[in-house]
Amino acid sequence: MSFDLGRIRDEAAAAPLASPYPQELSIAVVNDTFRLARLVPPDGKQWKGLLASAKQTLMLEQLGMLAHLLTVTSLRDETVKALGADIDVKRALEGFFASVAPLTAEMIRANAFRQEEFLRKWIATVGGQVAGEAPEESQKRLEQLDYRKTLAEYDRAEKARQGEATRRAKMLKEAADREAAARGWRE
Amino acid sequence: MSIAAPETTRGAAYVAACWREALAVWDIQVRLGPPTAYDGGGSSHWDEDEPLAFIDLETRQVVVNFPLLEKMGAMSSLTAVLAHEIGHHVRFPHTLGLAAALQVLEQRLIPGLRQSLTNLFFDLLVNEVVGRTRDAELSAVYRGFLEKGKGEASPLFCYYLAIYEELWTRDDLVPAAQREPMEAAYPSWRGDARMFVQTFYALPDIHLQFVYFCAHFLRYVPEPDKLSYRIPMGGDVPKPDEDDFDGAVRGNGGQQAEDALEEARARGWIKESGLVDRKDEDPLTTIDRITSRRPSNTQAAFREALVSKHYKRLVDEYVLKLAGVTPPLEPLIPTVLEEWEWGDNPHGIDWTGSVLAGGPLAAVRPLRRDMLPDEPSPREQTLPEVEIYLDTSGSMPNPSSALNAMTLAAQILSASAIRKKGKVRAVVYSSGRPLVSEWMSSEEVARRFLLNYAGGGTEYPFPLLRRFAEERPDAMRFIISDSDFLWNLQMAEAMDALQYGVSQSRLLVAMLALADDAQARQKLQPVLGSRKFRLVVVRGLDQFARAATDLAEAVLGA
Repeated sequence: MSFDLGRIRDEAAAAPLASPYPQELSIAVVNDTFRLARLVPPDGKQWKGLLASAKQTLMLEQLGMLAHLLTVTSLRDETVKALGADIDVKRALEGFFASVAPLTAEMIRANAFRQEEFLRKWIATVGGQVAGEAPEESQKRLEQLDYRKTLAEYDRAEKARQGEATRRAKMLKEAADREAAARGWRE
Repeated sequence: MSIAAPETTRGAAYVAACWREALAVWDIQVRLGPPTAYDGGGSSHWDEDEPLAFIDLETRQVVVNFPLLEKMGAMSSLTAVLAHEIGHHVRFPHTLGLAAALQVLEQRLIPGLRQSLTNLFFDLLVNEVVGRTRDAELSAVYRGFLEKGKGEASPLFCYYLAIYEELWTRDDLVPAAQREPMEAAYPSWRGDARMFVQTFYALPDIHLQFVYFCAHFLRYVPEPDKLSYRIPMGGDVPKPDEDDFDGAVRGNGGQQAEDALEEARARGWIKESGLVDRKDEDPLTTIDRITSRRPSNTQAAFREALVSKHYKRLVDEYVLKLAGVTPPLEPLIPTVLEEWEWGDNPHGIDWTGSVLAGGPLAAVRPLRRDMLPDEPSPREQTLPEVEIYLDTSGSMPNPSSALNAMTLAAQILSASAIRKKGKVRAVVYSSGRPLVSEWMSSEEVARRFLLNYAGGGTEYPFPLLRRFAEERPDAMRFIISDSDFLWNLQMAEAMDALQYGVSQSRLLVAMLALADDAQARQKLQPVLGSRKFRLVVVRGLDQFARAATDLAEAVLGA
């Protein structure tokens, strides 16, 4: 099933999040989506286990954003169409939350790249495809957007930059001192 | 849908179609003429030797260098190039004041930066919008530019191109031969570019974006004070003028910049990148920073204009504004006859003069005669002429670099006199030949003249005082100096000249910065008894301006 990513993002932009979704409401929205696809959603005990298994604070934020996007966009209808009967719902949710682990609600709300990553990972989780893209293209884009990977690469860059920055700070300070000296006497 | 561009397309229809498509990219109506071909002119809009495109703000037209575009093999990118130029005009920078404020912020974060990075910054913003639909066309321009320049790119340009590769999901911009050397020199630079793209465009405020931009790009500028770069479609951003920079020095955009810096500090961008986080307390330091990298042929005038505006603000703080405005005088004095032309005011026609000059042709060739107001009579002048002798020896700073309290005091006196319709002559001295102005009745002219500075020893021009006192026996004279003036009185005939100057002046005021007045009273004993002489002792430099204001109020009635 093809998800019209552009349309979903336009719909999300048209319905900004006014306040965070409470945990119970978020769980209910996600459960309803699975029920509409004639699947059994995780029960209360399973949800409890799910939420306790990872970084709980961020997972709650991600759950709230997922519920919001399912509510205000066509993501839910497309998800219902895409979900197959053979899907292991609990495992799918575990996999999804693990893949978006570093994303905060603010990132998903305000950063177009992070929102796209979040949506693409959900689409991949429920076995859907992005409209107008070959699976390899979607995979490539997903790799490019992977925040965890970007963060790891960036950490390497940061470590290298720290050494460079010390050198540069010294150089900039020298340049500033030279400038001050060139201006001469001051009050 | 983009327009197919055959190899030889340079026709007007093709250009017009590209222009329409370029306007559609921004979905906005602009008052710009359709593009014209570059003819080698417009150097005021372009820093480098061969522009690709720019907007001529005098004719409000986009100018395109078609031969260069063709040479770069990017003729089919015309729409994207035009859209890029329109983007600078309508969106980035939003105002020239913003462009100036960002350059001021840039010099604070990267002091000594030789060439501003703001062009790259605005291009990144413009190209993100244009590239949403025309990334292939923009990429062709960058590739063509690289091929034309033997395919080599600086680390800065490689990083810049990597950002576009990440943004547009491409891999054909950074020269293949430079990828590995870049990784060796700047480990994980691609990850850096990816993170930049995924963060920069999501930031909510342009000042915050700019600080983030500086924090990341600084890594690829090994020696800021030697930075010199060229990019295609660079140098085409309209340049802020002195008023824009003056606004930035005054603090326009300052609060947004401070907010952005606070957030950047909290996020660790400043510390991690090696940016300098030091605020200029003195606006003259800021002026010095932003003018010192300008081309040498414009630097002095630009600096003088900004410094003059800064001192004007300081003067305005002290000099009281006059409550009433004198209405302009009635134009009563007839001038010579001139041809009346269509569009001229019909009331200006002098029919008597026209008939006398043209006879029967007066109706078809009427003549006009303008009327001018009479020059004010010297007797109507409320103030006598004012002469100001300003000491600019090396014991005081250059007023362009740091606040010079004596210069400010002289400007306050001159502004007070001119606002009371007085005339001012200034003598700026140090050692050697002093600088002498004409009689000035414009505050601006006087203010700029008084910004002159010598910075040598102190040698009061007593012979000049004697000559001027003889020429203008009724003038008011102010001497602004420090204890050096007392030393100067030991020169041969100095006291004679001073006594003569006092006797020939309506009032002569010596305004001296001194720790105490005992020595001054002793040295100035011969003139202290004169009712035409006043000694004003200023205890500290910070009191000079206030003392000048009080003095102006007392003796000029300002």
